[in-house]
Order: sequence, then structure tokens, then C-alpha cells
Amino acid sequence: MARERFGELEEQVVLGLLRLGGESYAVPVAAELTDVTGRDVSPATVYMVMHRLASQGLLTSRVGTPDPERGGRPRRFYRVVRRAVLPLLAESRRARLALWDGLEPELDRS
Amino acid sequence: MSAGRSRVPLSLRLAAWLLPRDVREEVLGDLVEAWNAKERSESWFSRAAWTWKQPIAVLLARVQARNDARVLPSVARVSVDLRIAARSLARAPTFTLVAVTTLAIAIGTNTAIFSVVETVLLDPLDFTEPDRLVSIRGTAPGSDMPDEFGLAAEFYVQYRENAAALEDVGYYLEGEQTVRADDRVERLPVSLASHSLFSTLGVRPVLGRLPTEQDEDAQVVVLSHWLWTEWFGRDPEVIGRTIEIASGPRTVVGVMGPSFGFPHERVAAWLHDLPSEEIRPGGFGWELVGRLAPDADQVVLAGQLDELASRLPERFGGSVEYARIIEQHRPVLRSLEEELVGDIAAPLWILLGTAGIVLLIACANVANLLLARAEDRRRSFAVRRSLGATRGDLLRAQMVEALVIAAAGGVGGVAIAVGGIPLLVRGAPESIPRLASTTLDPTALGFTASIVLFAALASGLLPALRFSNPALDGTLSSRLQTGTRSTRFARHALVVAQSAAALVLLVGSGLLVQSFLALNRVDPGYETEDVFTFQMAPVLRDHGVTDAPSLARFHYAFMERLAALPDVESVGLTLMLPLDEGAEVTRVVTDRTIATGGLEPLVRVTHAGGQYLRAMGIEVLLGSDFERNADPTENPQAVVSQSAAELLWPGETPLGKRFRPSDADSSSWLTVSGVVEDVILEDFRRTEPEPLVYLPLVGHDRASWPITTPAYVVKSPRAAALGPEIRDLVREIAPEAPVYHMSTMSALAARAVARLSFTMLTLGVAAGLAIVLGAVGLYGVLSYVVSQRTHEIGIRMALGANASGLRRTIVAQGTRVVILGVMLGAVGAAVLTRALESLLFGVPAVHMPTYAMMAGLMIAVALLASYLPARRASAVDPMTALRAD
Repeated sequence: MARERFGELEEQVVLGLLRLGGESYAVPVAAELTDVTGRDVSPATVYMVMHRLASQGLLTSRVGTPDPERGGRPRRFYRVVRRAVLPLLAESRRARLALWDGLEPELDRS
Repeated sequence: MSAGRSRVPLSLRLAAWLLPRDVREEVLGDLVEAWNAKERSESWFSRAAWTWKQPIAVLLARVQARNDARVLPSVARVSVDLRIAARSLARAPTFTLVAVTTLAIAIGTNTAIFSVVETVLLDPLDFTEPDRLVSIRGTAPGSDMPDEFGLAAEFYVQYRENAAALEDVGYYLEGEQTVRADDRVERLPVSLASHSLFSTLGVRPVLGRLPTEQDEDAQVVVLSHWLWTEWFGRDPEVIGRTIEIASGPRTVVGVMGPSFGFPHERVAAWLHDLPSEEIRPGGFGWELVGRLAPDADQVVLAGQLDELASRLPERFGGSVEYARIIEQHRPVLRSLEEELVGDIAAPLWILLGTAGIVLLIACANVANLLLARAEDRRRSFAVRRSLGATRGDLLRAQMVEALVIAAAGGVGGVAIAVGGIPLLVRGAPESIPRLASTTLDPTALGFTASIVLFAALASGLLPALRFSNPALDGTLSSRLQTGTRSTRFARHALVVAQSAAALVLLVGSGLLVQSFLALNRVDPGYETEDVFTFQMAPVLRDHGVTDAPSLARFHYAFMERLAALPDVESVGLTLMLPLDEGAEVTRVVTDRTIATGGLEPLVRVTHAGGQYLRAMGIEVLLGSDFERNADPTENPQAVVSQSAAELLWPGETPLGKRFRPSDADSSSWLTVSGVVEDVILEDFRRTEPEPLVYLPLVGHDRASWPITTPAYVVKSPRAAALGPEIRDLVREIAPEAPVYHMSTMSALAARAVARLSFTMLTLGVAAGLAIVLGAVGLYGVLSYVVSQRTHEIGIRMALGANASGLRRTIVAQGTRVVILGVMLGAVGAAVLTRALESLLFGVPAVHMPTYAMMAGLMIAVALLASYLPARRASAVDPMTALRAD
């Protein structure tokens, strides 16, 4: 499915993934989002976002080896398909900055 | 070990379950990993809050993922439904009150009992990685050792040095000691503990340090937080102070945190203990706690320990008996949590199950009420359908109503739980670990939230499905008088289910009541009425006690003072009191064992003096009671119980025979002067008598004075009121001595059956609730049927039916339904009461008279509940009834 733009959480998840080197799984991505934005995101939410993006061809995934720390359950690693994702990110960044254009003084005043 | 898989919190499983099946395992893996990371870094509270956020996060994310366009309007519709539901419930206050109260009682009961279960059974122990901790005990089938027993010093040394599957191992022994600091003195539970116990548990002190291998044996002590708080006002200067415990000075080196109470919360201090350099093997009774190595599990550990134990005699020597025990010995491993919780787990799970049954009954009641209400509102539903409401709209409107009722019930339930938890805690046997810290925490509230949802579904779904049915369309024009067949079937089915569930509870509580009565009928061999008992711990050297004769003189003088109190009939003393401290275990040597070289028999042993046997009402069967003897004699006399006599001298006259404990020196023979009836030492359920020997107050030499802090027994019709007088007397004679373990024998007997009486009481309350709710449900159904059939009854009456015949028909209808429920309930009870088996005594789980009695009670209640509506029906005036339509 062709996409025109990201939802806010989708954008954050993809950025989180890129910050972690372009490939990771839900737990570190959720932790990264919490660290950077202060927003408490559930790993389950992150997983579902990545699952959805993968179904749209924006991410690819592979299953890692089962880990005893997780009770033997496998990890699913997601990798950013840069060719598909970067244009969308560029567009959302452009749109956001364009909206901010001329509004910075408002922030300074508050 | 599969610990990782089993230790997943319910809330995380719920979150995963809310997801599509194909991603569940992976998401659950993520959640568990994140949770484990939090376990290392965050407080219990924030972890619990986090776990319960997860299912909500998943739900929100799923809603988000749906088509945005659809979500918003349906949210708006639900809020309209909510307003409508609230308004229509407010218009039917009686209905609302009954439904909400019913659910509140059931939800409150469940919340309160769940809180207890959670605190006692589900919360992980407050130690580092508690699931790697194991309790190590032993068994030696075929030997005369108890079924299971604590190990000994040599096991600890051997395991600590050689068991690769153990990362660490420690030991502890429990006891009671006199603790003195400044002017304060009390007898307190303390624990002797190896320094490795603390490292094994992975705990740290809040103040000071823990003992180390370099500390000398028994010289240093770690205080519990409560002792530090109550005795020392949390003074940090306590470190380095010397206090007196067990008549020796100990240096305080550390203070533990408030949550550390090991093996239980009442322990006041941990005395550092090291095994002696020269171990005499076979001193059993040490409790070992091990920490599994990261890659090991209990099976591997059991194999290693078995192998290591078998090599103990070759390393430490020991007697022939010891070698035989080791030959039979197998390690008994269980998780530390299981060991600490002990046998209270079964009653608690039974209580939670009981509460669950009460909830089901309450839901059935509310479902019935909602069915009746929906029946009344058929026309209004039909009107809404004809105005374009979809089936989904009607379904949602009714479910929202059920949810509002359940939520109100949940709020009421939480209030009931807040009031009920302290009652539950107070009523429970005092020995339940961690019970006192039971509170309504976020996990319990989460549980309440889930049962509110369950109650809404269980009580609302059936009526909602029935009355959103498209078949409703035709009803607008119909007369709608008697209700449809299938509705009546549904309502009767609910009453059947209710009666069945109530019968299960009634049978269960009936069985427990009979067990309780049977236990109270057991003859323990002594009187429990009119006997007062206490202990005191004087500083003996201050009273000139230096040897056995001076100790005996001290005790005799004190007992004379006791006997001089008004209304005191007899006074005696014993080293260990039945039902309180039991008795020690020893092997005894007799002429027969010497002659045959056979195994020295194992018997229980205690010391007694004064008029102990008379005060306790223990009958002397042969020979005579103890002699009063303050001087050591060449030939000290002892008394043995009947079963001890049969064990030691089968087929012979025991009087005049001699024996000695195997650990006494070879000249310490005692001569049997009397044989007394057997007594129950600890457990009323024990049907086999335990051989017991009573050794005298003074042995054969001046150095033998084992009775330092005996239990005194005082026979008096004023037993329950003697406490203050005895305190005064002790203050006068030995002002420095703490008085403790003050109790009547009847209170000790009640304590011995506390676990059963607690379960019985709570199950009885639940059964009472069940039968009341069941009766209300039946009454409701029949009243409704009667009111719906007023028209038909009027016609019958007009045609000459007589009133009593009509009453019989209606009563029979109600009773038939209940009898069906009783039959199903009997089958259910036969299956479910097996869970009670460990609590039952003197009555089998399937006990026909109990079943018959409870079924009879249930049917009698059904008759009563049906009679009231029946009478109303037969009072119908035919003319009014016919005109009404």
C-alpha cells in the first residue's frame, strides 16, 4: 500500500529504529522513545506499529533465536527499508517545519 | 527450569491475549523482557502499575488501528448509552439496589480473599531472584526418622564445599531466647543463622554490615527492623552496642530492612552461627536454604546432593544408626516460597474458589433480574427496533446497563473489601506468613476490575442476546403475558445453576463442621479445661542456681508459691508443653537393644516435675507418678507412656526396667517407675500414638539440669483469670524474668485447629451467602412467573380451581427446578470437595448423610421461597385479574 505520510507514533517508532542503527526489536525501541521523548510507550504498542509498517512494506522483519530471559520466546527484529521510509520521513519533517515557519517567536514569548 | 515461562504476570498474558494469535508469543516475549528489566531496577509498585497498563495500551493501540472514522461515533454512542442506562436504573431503585448489592457482596468477598492470596501466595519473596532459592531438607523412608526432617551441620559443610549446582547455601535454626538491653527484657523468637544465609538470600542490611566468616561464632547479632524500631528508637548508634541474648553478650553489627523477616516476620534478631570445628554427625534439625547456580535446576541439584550425602559417613564418621539413616536418605527440595508458605496454600486456594462460586451465584441472580427487567421492557425494545435501532444498538444498550450495575457493584465491593480485609486478617491463624501486610494494592484492584468485567458479561450477556433478537420484531402486537418459553427456560436454568453451586458450598462447609466437631472430640490424653500455662526466664545465677539440686529447689519453691494462690488445685512443670512446643526426639538404649544389638528405638522425650501429670489430668496406668526429688540419686526414676512401654519392652512388664537416652553417658540409667496414657503432642489428626518418655527434674548427677525455662502448668477453675496474679508473683520472686507463652490449654487446643476453624468459618459464611442469594433468586423467578400468570390464574380460579391446588402447582414448579440443581450440585460437590480432603478429619469427602442433610436444607429453603409467591397467586381475585387486562 502506498503511503503518503506517517502517523505521529509511526514516525517516532521509525526514528527510534533508525537511531538504533536501522534494525532492532520492540523493547529497545520503546526504551529509546521513553529515553528521548519522555513518553512512556509500551513495547506491545511499538510491536504493533512495526508489525503494521512491515505489512505495508516499510520495514522487513526476521525472527531471532529464542531467549531464556523471555521464557524462551523468540524476538522479532525489524529493519527499516530506507528506500521506502526516507522519503516519507523527509516529507513529514518538511511539513512540520513548514508549519512552524514564523511561529518560533511565539515559543520564545511563552 | 521453566521458571521464565510460568512467572509471567496475569496482566501481561491478558495483554498478549488481546492480540491476534500469530503475534502473541513474540509480543509476550517483549513484554516479559521489559518486565524483567524493570524487576531489576524499579519498585514493586511501579512494576505492578506498569503491568496493568499493558493490556490497556494494547486495547488503545488496537482501537487506534481500526478505521478512525468508525471509532469516534461508536464512542459517542456508548456515552449516550451510558447516560440512558444511568437514568433508567435510577428510575428502578429497588431493582438497582438489589442487583448492585448482590454484586457488591460477591465482588467484595473476591477482592478481599484475592488480596490475601496475592500477598501470601503470589507475591514473589522479597529476595534477589527468589525463584532460584530452594529449601533443602531430607527424608529417609524405611528408617524411623520423621517423614521429612531438617538436615545437620555436616550436610551444610559438605554441600557448601562440593555442590556445583548450588551457588551458595546457608542454614538457620529457629528458637526463642531472652533478650536484654538496658532495663528491657523479653523472651523473643530469634534465629541462629550462618553468615552465608544472608548471601544466599541476596539481602543487604539497612544499617551496618552482615556477619562474615571471620566473625566468631555467636558473638555478633543482626537486629530486625522492628526490634531496632521498638527497642532502640531507630538509633543508628546501636551498631557496636552490646546486648544480651541467650545469656551472652552479643555485638550488634547490622540492622535489616523492614521487609526482611526470615523465616517469619516475628523474628527479632539473627545470631551469627558457625558449625563447630569438630562436627558430631547426626544432629538433625537444621534448615538449609540454597541458591541454585544459574544453569542448574532442582533435578540436577537433587542428584548432586544425593551423591554428596551418601559420602557423609566416610568423611564425618558417626554411629551405625547414622550410617543407616544416610543409606536411606534422599534430599527433599522445594522452592523456598513453597516451604515458607507451607500448608496454608490449600485452604487459601479453597477460599478463593469459594469466593468464585459466590460470584457465579450472584451473577446468576443479577442475570435473572435483568431477564425479568428486559421482559418488562420488550415493548420498548420492539419500539426502538421499529424506529431503526439495529440489533447491535439494543445489545450494546443492555450490556452498558449491565456494566453500569457491575461497576457500581465493584465500587461497593472495594468498600466491602477495605472493611473486610482487617477482619479476615484478624480471624486467620496467626502463623500465616506475610498475612499482616495484606492491603488492597494495584494488582488486587486490577483483579477487581477484571471480575467487574466478568460480572457484567456473565450477568448481562444472556439477557442482552435474548432481547436484541430479531424475532422480537413481531412482539409489538402480541399480548406478551406469560413470557416466552425460552426465556422461562433460561431463567430456570439459572436457578438450577445457582442451586447446584450453593449445594457445593453447603456440602463443603458441612464436611468442615463435622471435621471440626470430630477433632474436638479427640481425647488428647490430657485435660484442656481449667489449665493455665506460662513460662518465665529468670537469670538463674542471681537465684543461687549452680547445679541440678539448686535448680530443682528453685522450681519447687516457685511451684509452692503458685500452689498457694487461691483456687489452685495442682502445679507442675514440663520442659516442653504439648500443643505448644511438642517434645524432643531421642534414641534410647535398653538392655534389650544392648543384648540384641538392634536399632535403638526413636522416642519423643520431655522432662517433667511437680504434679505435672495430675495438673494435666494424664492418667497413671501402672506404678506411680514422679517422686519429688531435689537431690540426684543413684537410680533416677522416669515415667513412660503406654506406647513407649510397648515399643521398648514388648510383652514385658515395664515397671522397674531401665533405659537411657543414647546421647547420655553410659552410666546414666533411668528406672521406669510408672506408665501413663498416651498424649497428643502436636497434631490432633494423628491417630497413631507417639511413644513418649518423661525424664525427671533431677537426673543422676549434679550437672544434669536441662530444665532452665520450663512451662509451668497450673490446674485451677480460675485458669483463664490467673495471668495477672502470676505476673505479680514472678515480679516478686524474679523481677528480672520475662513471663511469656501465657495461655490456657484450651486456647492452645483451639490454636491447634485454627487452620481448620478459619477455613470452616469462612466457607460457612460463603455457604450462608450462597443459600440466601439462591433463595432470593428462586423467589424472584417464581414471583415474576406468578405476576406474569395472574391473568391465567384468574381464569383458572373463575373456572373453579381451588386455591390450595394452585399453591401446590407453583411450589412444585419451584421445587422441581431446585431438585434438579441439587442433583447437579451433588455431582459437583463429589468432585470439588476432594480439594478439601487435606482438611477433613473423621469424615470422608463423599459423605452421604452430609449430602442428604444439605440437599434437604436446600429443598426446604426452596419450598419456603416458592411458598410466598404461591400464596400471593392463590389470593388472586378472579374478577380483578380478568378485568386488569
